[in-house]
Amino acid sequence: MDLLTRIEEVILLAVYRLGDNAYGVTVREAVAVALQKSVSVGAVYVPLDRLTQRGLLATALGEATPERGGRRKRFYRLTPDGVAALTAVRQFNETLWQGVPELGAG
Amino acid sequence: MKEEGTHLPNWLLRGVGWLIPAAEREFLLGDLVEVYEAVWVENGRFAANRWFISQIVRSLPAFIQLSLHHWVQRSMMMKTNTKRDIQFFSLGVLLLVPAVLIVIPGLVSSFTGWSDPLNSIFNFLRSSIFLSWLTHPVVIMGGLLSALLLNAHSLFDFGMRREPQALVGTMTIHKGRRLPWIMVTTCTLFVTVIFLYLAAEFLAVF
Repeated sequence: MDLLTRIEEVILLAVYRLGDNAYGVTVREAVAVALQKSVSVGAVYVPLDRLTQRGLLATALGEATPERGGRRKRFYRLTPDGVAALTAVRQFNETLWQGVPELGAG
Repeated sequence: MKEEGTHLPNWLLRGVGWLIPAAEREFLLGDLVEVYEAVWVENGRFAANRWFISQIVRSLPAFIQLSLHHWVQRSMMMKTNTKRDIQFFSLGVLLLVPAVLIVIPGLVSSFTGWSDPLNSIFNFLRSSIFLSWLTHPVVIMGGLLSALLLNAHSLFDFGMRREPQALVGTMTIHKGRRLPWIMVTTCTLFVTVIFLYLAAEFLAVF
């Protein structure tokens, strides 16, 4: 079973939640909120690139804007394979925790 | 001089862009500029500069990883297109091994007068029934001639046809890839010198 890594799961979920506004900056912010820590720009691009290569994410180019120094945005969206991968992870987690009593000391 | 729409200087953005693979450069730099400007507006210049430097330092391992990944991808695509090139090159390298075994002791002998290594190699080969044929001048020169042709093929092809895409040989050479040119040229010259030296020795024997 080829499960996603934790960061890949977080990124795919962030892309899913952001919908049409999922690009580098917004994905990074969403990941930082989810992980509750600061995330570097480069650290998000590596898994984004990996997920795109694996076919779990598709990309589309946006317009160039002056706020970005005339550079375009690259938007991400989940592919059907990406949705399936997230679903598989969710089911795995639910199965894993099924029947586990509330955690306590000892 | 600054880009339009950003307080970051051009030279800095170009320098950072050099660290990022070309396929990601526009989008990654755009993200950096966008957030930098947002931090500038909210917290001022020093906070923005601090943020930018922190991002570059923390992102360096990721930039390296991205660059390596993209390089491997490009190499794998090249490998698929130049499988024959790799086969030719491997054969050329194999044929260069006896040349190296001969020339290095030969050079040592010429400069220092110490001929034991060369004599030892030839004595060892001649003493073996299975390997003695390797010392025959025809075999040595034939192998070196093959290595010469295999290594030089790409140079002749490129020189005559002037089309990088038409290169078939030991190395596929693309625009900007200077190292393969140096390697192919060095190997070719090396093999040429050895071949001419042994040809002269062979003709002198006969």
